[in-house]
Amino acid sequence: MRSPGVDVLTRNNVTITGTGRPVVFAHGFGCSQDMWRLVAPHFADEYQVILFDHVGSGGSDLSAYRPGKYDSLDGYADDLVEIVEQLDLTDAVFVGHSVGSIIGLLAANQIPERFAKLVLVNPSPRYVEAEGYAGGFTQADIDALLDSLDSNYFGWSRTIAPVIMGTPEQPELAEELTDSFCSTDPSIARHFARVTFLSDNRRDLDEVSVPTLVIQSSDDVIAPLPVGQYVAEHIADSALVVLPVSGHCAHLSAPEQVVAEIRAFLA
Amino acid sequence: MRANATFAGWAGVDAEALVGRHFRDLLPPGAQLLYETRHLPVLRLQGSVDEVFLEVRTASGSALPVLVNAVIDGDEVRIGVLAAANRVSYEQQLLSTQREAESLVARITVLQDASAAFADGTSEQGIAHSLAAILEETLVASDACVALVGPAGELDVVAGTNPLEGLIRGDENLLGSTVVSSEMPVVVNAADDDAAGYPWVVAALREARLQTVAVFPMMSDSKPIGVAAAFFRRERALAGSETEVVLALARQAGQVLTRLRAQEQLAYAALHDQLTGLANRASIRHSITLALSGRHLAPASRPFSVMFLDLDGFKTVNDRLGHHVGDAILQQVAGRLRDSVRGDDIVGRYGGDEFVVICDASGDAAATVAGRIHDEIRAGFAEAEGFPISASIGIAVYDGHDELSTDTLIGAADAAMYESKRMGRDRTTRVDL
Repeated sequence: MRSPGVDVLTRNNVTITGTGRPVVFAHGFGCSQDMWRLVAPHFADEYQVILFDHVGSGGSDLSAYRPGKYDSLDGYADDLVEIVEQLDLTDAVFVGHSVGSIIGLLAANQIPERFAKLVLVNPSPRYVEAEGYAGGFTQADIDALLDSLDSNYFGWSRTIAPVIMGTPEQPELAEELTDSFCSTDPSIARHFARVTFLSDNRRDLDEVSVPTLVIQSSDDVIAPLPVGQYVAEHIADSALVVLPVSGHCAHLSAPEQVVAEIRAFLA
Repeated sequence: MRANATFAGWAGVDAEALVGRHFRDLLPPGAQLLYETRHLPVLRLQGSVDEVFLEVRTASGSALPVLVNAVIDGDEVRIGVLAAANRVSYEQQLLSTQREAESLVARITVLQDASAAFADGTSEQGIAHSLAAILEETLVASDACVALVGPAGELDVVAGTNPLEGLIRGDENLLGSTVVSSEMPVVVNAADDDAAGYPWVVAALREARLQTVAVFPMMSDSKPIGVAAAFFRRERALAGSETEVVLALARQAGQVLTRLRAQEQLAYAALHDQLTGLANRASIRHSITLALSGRHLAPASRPFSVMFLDLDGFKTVNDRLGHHVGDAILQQVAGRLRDSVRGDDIVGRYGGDEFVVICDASGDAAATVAGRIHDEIRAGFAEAEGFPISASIGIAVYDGHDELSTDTLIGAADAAMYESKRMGRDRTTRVDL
């Protein structure tokens, strides 16, 4: 389970800013730690903000990717546990988006003594419908997603190379984003997609022993409201907040609201 | 959403009907997943996305492939949509051909690499280890192990890791033995309900935080010789092609293992007495020759003892009670000899009722062993009650000084044994060379 002799901070491209109580942010499928750029910096004044990339995403060490290990979210959770232990974090706050929230939850279940609070943004413990559970998707939908990924690979680098930047006054942003997006190996992304959307971590909700805040978008087709409610219902000490926001990335569509909710939860 | 007439036409609706709806709602679920998790974040972070391939669901229910460019313009997102049916069908053909080819190449490579790995293997353990490693890689499993059927029909893990070890509380090997006897693969999931075939395995999977275990039979010449198991931390359903590849790999390994086993058995038979399992005459002579070669050249001389042992009264038992009883007694003697000697001593059957013990040690040490042997033999044999059996033992001790041949040493021990017989049997005679 542990990786001896591996520099986990380099492996996961860990970046740390600020000092104080540690807040660890975990991204989800499809992006990298960059997706926290509208939320995380707001905490650097009073907290120690820790960002990282899952192996295979962003600026992580792609050579560290082992299919057998990362064929389940447990492999990603093990990495997060290593990061937390390497940095010797205690009284830590975890903020995760989408599948990143489940990865953090699994890590917290392994080492609950190090985590004080969990914030799960647009979480879903299982995407494929099951008996008595409306996950939102069928197996065929996931297969279609994987096909879609392949098709988009043809235009992968073209999609990523920005022709027109939305922020011309920050040209360095262009390089940064291009690099972090481009470095995702398409076959790793394909595997990560399969693992993310075919995993079932409903049982793990029952084991969460850390106070948890679930932040839900009111109109999210990926992790619909009933799923957010399910998550909150199955975590013992939890609260559900539904933001009047559309889409699966509340932290990008309504960053100020997400920041406010996290602040209130930490107070 | 506000759309122009062209797009509305493609979508099969009136332009007004699109107002107030999200673009996302025009996409089928699979495309929505990618759109929401990747394309929208990229758009928001970058300000634009180019040439994103999506499918739009038209009013009639068909899927219209499109290429999309999008850019954030103030509060709005401007989306340019290009109907892409031609490009799509070209790309999809390319993709599907590419994927088929890659899959075929992958399968052939796996089998070729396995073939090479197995051909290189010189031991059962090595072959099993290669198979477990290949299985783990091919199936993208978190663990894999190989277990072979032992002499008593039990399954022993020979290579790899079994993460369920010690966790299956009920009938230990039901799963493995079922796969062996049915010669069919079995997959068990942690999510199976407890009333399913393997409740103990399901419980063990949950305890080990595993979701799936797949067990495959290893066949060789249509006989099952073991199983290969793969463990997954995520629920997995194995595709038919994956199962086929695994069974082919397992068969390959099985055949090599069978050949190895046959070779090992031949080698063993060449050096061991079939009845007692002790070293045979050839093996004994070889061991002595090996020990003697160059010994006289060593700076410090080390003694070496050879003990010849003949069973007194055995011929009578054989004649009167039959060979069946005689054989049983020989087997028991072999066992008692093994119990009497020290760890490094070699015990062999030289012929008939003649045994040899090689003690790479002083004559005193050998004499102590001989004493133990006498005690063991004198204890008697249940099958031959009333028929006294004892041992006539001759020990020849070589002091290690001058060069000595195997024949001389053996001859001396043999002669010493005959001396014991002549002097009244049930005793040890020692000669120092």
